[in-house]
Amino acid sequence: MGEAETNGVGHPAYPAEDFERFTIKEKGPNSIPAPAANPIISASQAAMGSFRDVTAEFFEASEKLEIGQLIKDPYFTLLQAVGALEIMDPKMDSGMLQAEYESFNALQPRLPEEVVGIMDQLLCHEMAWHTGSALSQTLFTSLYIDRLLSSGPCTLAEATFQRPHGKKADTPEVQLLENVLQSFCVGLIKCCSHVNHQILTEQIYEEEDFVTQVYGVNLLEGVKSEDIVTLLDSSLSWLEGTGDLYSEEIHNALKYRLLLRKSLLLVFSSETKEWSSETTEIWDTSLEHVKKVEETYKVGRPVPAAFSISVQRKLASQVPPRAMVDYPFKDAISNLKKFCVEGKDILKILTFEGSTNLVNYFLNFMTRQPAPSPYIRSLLQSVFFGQVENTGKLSIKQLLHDDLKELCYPMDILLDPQNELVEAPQDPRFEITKHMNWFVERAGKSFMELFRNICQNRSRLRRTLCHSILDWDSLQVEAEEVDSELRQFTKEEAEMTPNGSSFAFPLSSWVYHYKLRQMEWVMLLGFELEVFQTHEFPGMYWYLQHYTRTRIGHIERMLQFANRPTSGPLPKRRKEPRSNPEQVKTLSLLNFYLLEATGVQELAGAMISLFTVLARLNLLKKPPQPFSTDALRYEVRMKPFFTIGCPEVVPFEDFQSLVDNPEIETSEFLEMASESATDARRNFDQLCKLDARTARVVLCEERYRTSMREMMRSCIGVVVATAVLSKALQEGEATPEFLDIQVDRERYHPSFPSPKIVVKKR
Amino acid sequence: MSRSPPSILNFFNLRRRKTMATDTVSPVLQEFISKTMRITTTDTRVFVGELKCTDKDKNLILAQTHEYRYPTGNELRAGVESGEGVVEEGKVKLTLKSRYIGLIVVPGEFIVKIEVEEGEGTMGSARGSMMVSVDEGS
Repeated sequence: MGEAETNGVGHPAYPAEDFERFTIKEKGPNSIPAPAANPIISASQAAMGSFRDVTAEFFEASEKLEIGQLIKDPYFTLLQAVGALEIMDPKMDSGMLQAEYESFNALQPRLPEEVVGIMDQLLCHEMAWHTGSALSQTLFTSLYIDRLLSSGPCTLAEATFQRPHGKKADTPEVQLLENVLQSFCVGLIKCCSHVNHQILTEQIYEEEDFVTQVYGVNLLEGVKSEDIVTLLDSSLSWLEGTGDLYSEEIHNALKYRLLLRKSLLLVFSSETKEWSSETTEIWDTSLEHVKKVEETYKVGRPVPAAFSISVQRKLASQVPPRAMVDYPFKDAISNLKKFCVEGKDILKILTFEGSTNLVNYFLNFMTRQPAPSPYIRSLLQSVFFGQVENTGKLSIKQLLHDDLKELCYPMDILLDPQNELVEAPQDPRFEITKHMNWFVERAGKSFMELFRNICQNRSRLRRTLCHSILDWDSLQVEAEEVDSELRQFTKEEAEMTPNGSSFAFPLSSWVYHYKLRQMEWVMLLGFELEVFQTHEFPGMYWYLQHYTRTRIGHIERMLQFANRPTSGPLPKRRKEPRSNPEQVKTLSLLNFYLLEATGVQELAGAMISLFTVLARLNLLKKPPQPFSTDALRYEVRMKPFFTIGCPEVVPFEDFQSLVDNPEIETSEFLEMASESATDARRNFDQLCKLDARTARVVLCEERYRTSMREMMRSCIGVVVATAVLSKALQEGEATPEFLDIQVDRERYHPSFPSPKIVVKKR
Repeated sequence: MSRSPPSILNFFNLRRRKTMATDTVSPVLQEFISKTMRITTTDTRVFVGELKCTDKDKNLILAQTHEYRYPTGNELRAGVESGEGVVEEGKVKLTLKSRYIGLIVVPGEFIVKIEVEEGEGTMGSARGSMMVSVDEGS
């Protein structure tokens, strides 16, 4: 038994290793020993010079305490103690785990099938990380990756499985591990590093969508991607050189995995700023390789021993160990395919098709099911903002002017590029430029923020919208002021409207329209995200309808102003008063919005009637709310809207009678529902048939048509439900005893889940 | 006259009084509070941290704790091979692996040995690394 002596920090021969950073050096070539029971170690390791054994003393004194009596530091609270890790509790104490990584030999010969299996397991872990799990629960559980990174490699030459010095990689097994698996892992780690950087560049919510935590491990930051691509190339040529050492099946399996890794690395490491709508090749190549990997999946044989959560002991020492994520290969592959398809898809925005098309692309892109991965959403932001922030490409001003022009068709003089050239301060054009620049600055910020918000996950989007509508509300007030100020320079003449004479207010009209749309989205997302419970549906659909109706009124107003006879050299041919292409464009957009908004309004109306009937017949299960009332709940729901100037929130008492409409007969309600749904369906049918250019969905036509079809299906769902209900009502069987309600979200538009009414069997 | 409702402060005062009462109970144990302790557990691990709280069952709460563990046979060999460990009179001197684990509870039943740091013992003087000597032959 050896006597132990110790030396504290600062022994000259052994500088205290900074173990907290887990750059643990282990070089044990062999396997096994159980550390706990190992008798070679002196248990009586000596005090560090200054420690005194007080075991007996302490035990004796403890004996004398009473049960429940605590001896503690007066500043230490028991609340703090809750956060303490309990030693020797397997769920809390990661130090208890068997440390597989200590005895793991990365160069232990593996069958080629097993190497394929490990590569596939790594791919699954990678995709699990992409979908929101932590590295400590996914890739970092790989003992191969741990072996590669635990020495803290800074150069490519250091990133190895650490073959002992002097030993040659002479067996084909070791060569396979070093030439294929090792290169594959190096490529994988570099991919992770790139992905992490991308996510951190743009706004993606940490922990909500993605975990960027790397636990202080260096993910080969200092190594260039080109060098790793070269490494993967040399691995591929080594594989070629093996001839018929491996069966063709295995040979191909290994090859495609390396090829996929290479193409993914190329994707992740490429500069988004250099992308154009033609650089789709890298995504296509990746997609092809994914398919090949999928085909050769059967060759592989998984090696569970290559992964262990014990690595977490080094990674996150102050938290309990967390389970390894089990992500099925099938899901990983389908995810990766979708990943490549969507990555390619977002390049479409590099062809500018007008601002409205762009906004629609973002909106439609985010309604994809399942939602695009955080990386892709981050990439979309990078590609978009790379365009906007790069001078000479697509400026915020250009984008905003385009949007404004298409929606409001303001007087030519407002957006005339010639204005900028006027330098005389007394010239009205000078003042106009000043005001318009202010607007671009102020509204541009909110407009850009809108693009960014749409890229967030759906729940986050709803939350941010609740805040951003306040910003747009105050923007509207400011824009109104600027509109009036501008009138003295534009000499705009008042026009007669049904509400007396009025002016166009182009800037604030634009802002108001976007504000109303966002308010509608908040309601629509409430249904989509299942925030609202079914018994609240009538009221919440009422609000959706309320906002849509307000917007319809606004669109009609804008239509009137856009439809004014155009000034200038135009009216040569009297029969075509509106041959100005920009005016035509605005009118077509406004008419499109009108059609769409009317459809939504009708469908919302149908939903109100239908769900009110269901509520009347006690068919909606209203959960008991012992600590709440309908009024309180209403307050919570309408909270984001209370401070909005226009449209205002209705007081609760009025709201109740507006929604319930006690004077209307139940059967009458059903007729109304059926009629509205039929009308809405007609609208959506028409919308679905519009060409992509009119619907402003040039970049996302397919997704738009799908969404319109979902809308139509929701309309049909409502008609069917009313028919079943009417029949039951006539037969006097419209009671909870005979009928059952299921809200089916699968088949319908996510914001309009139509209830399915099932007649109970007797 | 309106009587003020029982304040949350009263609650704390009560608690403080109770703590004060215990102060006089065990001066021996009170002595160790806030001292740096070194605890050896049944699985031969060693924990060095500041004692915050204890009770009859010798459950200890340690703050800012480092965990030390003995090298495995393999690591010992590797340590010698790589020249990290120094061989002296048939024994190997090796730095123990440690990691910071922060606030922990060590249940009394697993405690084998309790030591207290003597002297000035400013926190952290013995942190970060710890050396052991073990027989080389084994």
